[in-house]
Amino acid sequence: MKNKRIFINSLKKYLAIKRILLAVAMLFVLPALVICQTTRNSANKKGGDEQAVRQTLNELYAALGRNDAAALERIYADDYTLVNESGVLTTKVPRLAAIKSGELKFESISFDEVNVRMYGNTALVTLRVTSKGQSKGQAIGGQFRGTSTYMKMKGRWQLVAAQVTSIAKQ
Amino acid sequence: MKNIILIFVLTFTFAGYAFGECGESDKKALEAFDRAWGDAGVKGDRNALMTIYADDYMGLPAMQNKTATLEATMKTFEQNKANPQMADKVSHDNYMITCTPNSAVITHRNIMTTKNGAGGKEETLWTRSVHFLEKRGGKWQVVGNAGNSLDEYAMLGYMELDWNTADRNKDMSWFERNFAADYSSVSSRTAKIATKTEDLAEMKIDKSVTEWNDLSNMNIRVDGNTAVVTGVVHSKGRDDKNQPFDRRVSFTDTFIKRDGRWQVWATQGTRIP
Repeated sequence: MKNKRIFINSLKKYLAIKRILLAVAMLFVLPALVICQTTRNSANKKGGDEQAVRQTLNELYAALGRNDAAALERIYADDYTLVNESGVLTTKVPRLAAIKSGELKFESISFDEVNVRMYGNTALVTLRVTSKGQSKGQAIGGQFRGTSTYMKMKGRWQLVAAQVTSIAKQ
Repeated sequence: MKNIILIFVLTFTFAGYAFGECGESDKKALEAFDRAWGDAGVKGDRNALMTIYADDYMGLPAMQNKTATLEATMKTFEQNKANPQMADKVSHDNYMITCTPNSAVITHRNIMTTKNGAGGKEETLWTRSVHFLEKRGGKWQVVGNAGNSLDEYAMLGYMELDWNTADRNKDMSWFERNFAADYSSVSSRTAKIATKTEDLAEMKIDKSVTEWNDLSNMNIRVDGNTAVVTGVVHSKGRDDKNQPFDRRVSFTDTFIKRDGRWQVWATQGTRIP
């Protein structure tokens, strides 16, 4: 019996230690799980936002390729600015008017070398643009480097500012 | 007739003395006075402050008289002495001084970095002070002081001006501090994209000299922690082959507010033909 009692006491001690170890383990594991989950949610949100920005970018260039002023109207923020390859600044209303009237017409436009950076509800995109078209009856186009700032407004990403610079011919 | 001429001469001489503008050396002396006043506050030098403030001094907008101002300054000094790590760091620049032989107005920018900013985090605050001085008993004294904090638009406007100054002075520390770690640029000359490290390395070996630059057509938009500034920078100087240049470049600068202060996130320039 004595031996048995000793055995039971040992077992109790063993179980008590196990409980303490379990509690200690939970103490470290639970917060880690919570942090992991939070980080994953944050990463998902960031990843989701970046994906949405890339989607907006695709829609923007598709709209430019179609000279679709109605689609561009939705993508350009009300205070949108563009500095074109001549260093001239234009805003949303004259830009859309030029596209609507056919004064500015793209025959083709594409982009590559895209980099997207996120900061809260702002995204910064750098890219290379290749275009061909006409402005006031004159041929325009070439290769350009661009920087664009997008902001999430009322749940959707809009283009706030863009600038292009002609890539120097090497 | 002689008396009339004498009266005219005396009148103009007195007016010239009383209302004439002071020279560059006077302005330098006034800036030194202003900086000494700031230092006296930091060092808790009550005796110096007693002579700097006029007895009828008034601080605005708090309507604080000389005694209350001295007490507040000494209290801050004691707090900073007890806990130097938490002391605010303040610098003064962008001085503008106008004066006559007996009165002066000094205005300058203050950049204050506090550990106790919004949400208990470090924050950089910008203010502009206006000091009114009179010469009494042959010594300058401060009779009034007004200050106001600069809003985001003013801060960003100043940052663009500071950027121009840093360009002229090749002040690497400005770029080091104010370009965000994930900054990017697109060159107006080559359309090459560069990171902060690449741009700083380029600046270090750049032999061109900007002798003069100016900003125009500035437009500043702010939305939360993001700002976009567009404008035109006109600069003149000598390129790396010592040839004169005169360039006008349209720019779009994107700023983000990170770690309690505005930082340049991206910049792109396009040469105006």
